[in-house]
Amino acid sequence: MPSGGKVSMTCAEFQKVLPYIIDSGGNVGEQEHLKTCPICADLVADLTYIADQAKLLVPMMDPNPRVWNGIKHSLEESGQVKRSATKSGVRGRLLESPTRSRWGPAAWLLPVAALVLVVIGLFLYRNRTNPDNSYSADQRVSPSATMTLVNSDGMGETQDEQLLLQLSEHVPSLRPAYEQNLRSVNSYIADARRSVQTDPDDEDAQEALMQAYQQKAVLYDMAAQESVP
Amino acid sequence: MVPGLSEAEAIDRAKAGDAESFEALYGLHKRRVYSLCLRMTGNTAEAEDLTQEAFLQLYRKIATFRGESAFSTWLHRLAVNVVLMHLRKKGLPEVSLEESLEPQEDGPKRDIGARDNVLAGSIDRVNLERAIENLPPGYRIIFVLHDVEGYEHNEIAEIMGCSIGNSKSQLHKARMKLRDLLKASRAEKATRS
Amino acid sequence: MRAGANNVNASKQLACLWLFVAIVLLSAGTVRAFAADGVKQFHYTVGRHASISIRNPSGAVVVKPSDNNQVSVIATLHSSKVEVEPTQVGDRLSLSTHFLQAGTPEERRVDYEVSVPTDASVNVVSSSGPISAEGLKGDVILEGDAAQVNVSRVSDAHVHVRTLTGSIALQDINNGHVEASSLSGPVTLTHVAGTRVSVNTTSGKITYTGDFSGGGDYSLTNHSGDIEVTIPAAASVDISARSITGSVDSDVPLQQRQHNAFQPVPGKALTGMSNSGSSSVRLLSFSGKIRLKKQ
Repeated sequence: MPSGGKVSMTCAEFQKVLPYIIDSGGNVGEQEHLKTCPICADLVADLTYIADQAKLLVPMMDPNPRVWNGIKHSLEESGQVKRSATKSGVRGRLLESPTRSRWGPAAWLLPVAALVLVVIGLFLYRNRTNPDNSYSADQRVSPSATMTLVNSDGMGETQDEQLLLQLSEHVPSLRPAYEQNLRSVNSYIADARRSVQTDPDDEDAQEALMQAYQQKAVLYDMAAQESVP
Repeated sequence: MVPGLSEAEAIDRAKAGDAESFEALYGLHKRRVYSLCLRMTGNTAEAEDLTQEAFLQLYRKIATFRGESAFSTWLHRLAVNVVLMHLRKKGLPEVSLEESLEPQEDGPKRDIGARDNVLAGSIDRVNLERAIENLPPGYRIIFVLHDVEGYEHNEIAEIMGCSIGNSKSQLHKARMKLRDLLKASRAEKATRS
Repeated sequence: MRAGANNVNASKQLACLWLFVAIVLLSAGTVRAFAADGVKQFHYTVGRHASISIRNPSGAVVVKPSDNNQVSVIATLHSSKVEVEPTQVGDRLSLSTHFLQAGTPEERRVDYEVSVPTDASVNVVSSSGPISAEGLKGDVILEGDAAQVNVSRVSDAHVHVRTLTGSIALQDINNGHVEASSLSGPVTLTHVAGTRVSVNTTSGKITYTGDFSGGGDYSLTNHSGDIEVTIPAAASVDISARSITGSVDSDVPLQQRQHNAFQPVPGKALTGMSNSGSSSVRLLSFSGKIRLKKQ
């Protein structure tokens, strides 16, 4: 291990051991070599300056407001926070404390099931109010005002029946395929829901349930497009 | 921060599920977390995503905060882990293969007589931040953790999964590289003016 | 002198006439439709990142890249009971098939061949399909109930595909964001890599062949279909695979991770890393069989 400066050394030798000298906490400035070598003295001064300046770097920038919006949105989507009635911030109590299980089926299912209901609402609204005869996807519709409230037992057989009825009226050739897939996806939802109820902490079961609802939402959305006259 | 609410009270309330208190904690610490993420990644979009992830993790884990360390330190460590996990997923080399601090054969060379002006007093913080952004990722992480955020080498070694010698070696190289970048930046400015 | 002046005037008039004709022919955004035996052609000039939307309930839609800023459409109408309605607003182009009167499925069929600039985004809905898109760098959004959907050689873009029963085949998709969803159709991915790749089916089989590269997040989930993944030894992946009531088997050597919250269960759930684990891969089936195979 180099002794650190008692013996006269070249620049190359000094710079090789410099990291060790700095690391061992030795006073670099006392090194003999620096007294006679301005190049290495400057190097040491620069490295010291850089390290000192770095300590003074205070956090300067705030993140874009969308970061907080994203956090808020994630917490709301996962059912841990009620949707805010005000524009700013997250208000009120959280539905579930972080210290308790957040994955009680009723609270957790609500936002996911709401997603499916929105699609169902779109489907029903389109079929009741769209007078346009052209097959064009450039139509914009707003969610139905007649959406029913979700219950923890699912989306309701009524909505499924209505969907199939609409398909029968507009595209009867597609009804069998939709009917069969509706049965499959309802079975998916039922299986996943049973798993979540068996073990509310099973994150895979929760994800499976989420995916099942998303599949149903896709089915309804595709049916809605098909059923537009 | 809600008037009259201390950080300790905000933490207790956030643990109990109070949304306003969690938002207050976000307001208190967002700048430091974001700056850390930005310095470690050098990328604004990534830093925003990682800041979001860090606070979501904070929300999930705040119940486990026992107060053995300062909350800001605890949150800071959480944010560092979030960034490092992200970098590992990207496959970025965090540190190069094991290197000791022993004298290297290929150390820096200087020509005697080719003396530059020292950096002291000629570099502002904006330039330094920019130079840090331009460091290679492995150097940047070690430099930010040690010189900017104040982690010790043994802590960095534990966080990064490398040896203490490796951490020290990378830090020295990071500083040398920064020196080169800052000198180049200064020379470029001098040419333009 | 007078004769010369008359000649000059006549020449001027002729020149003006030709100029007028040239202006008419060369005006920007010209649409030329040539109807010939049920085939209609349309040509459009568009700017960068144009948006092309096609709604075609019955018939094939093939989208290919053009090498300029032109959109060329060849629509083959199988009867006079259908019509094609194009609409262009700036760089947004929409092609819709309309039924003029009731007819058989074959009579309602229109087949589209469309060439678009590579940076254009494409949105196609065709109930019966097939739908194919290749060689593009703009977003690709395809939907069909029973349509066979094929997408290949797309990079740096979003690819979103969904079907009810139709098969989905994605090949050579890179550096983008991929979402594929089918209720009961099989989904096959070959050399598909990106920052986020997500496949979800109810009963459709999911097959992935590739290296899950790019350091992205990959998620393949279904209810009762099988999930089959074939990866090379050099793949850098951090895998978790679980079938809640089905089975998981693997012949891919994986290193176990320390401090891992995921609980492996022999035959039902496994986790591990290959190489440096750059990409995160999540395989989840409710009751299907998950197979990891080494290439």
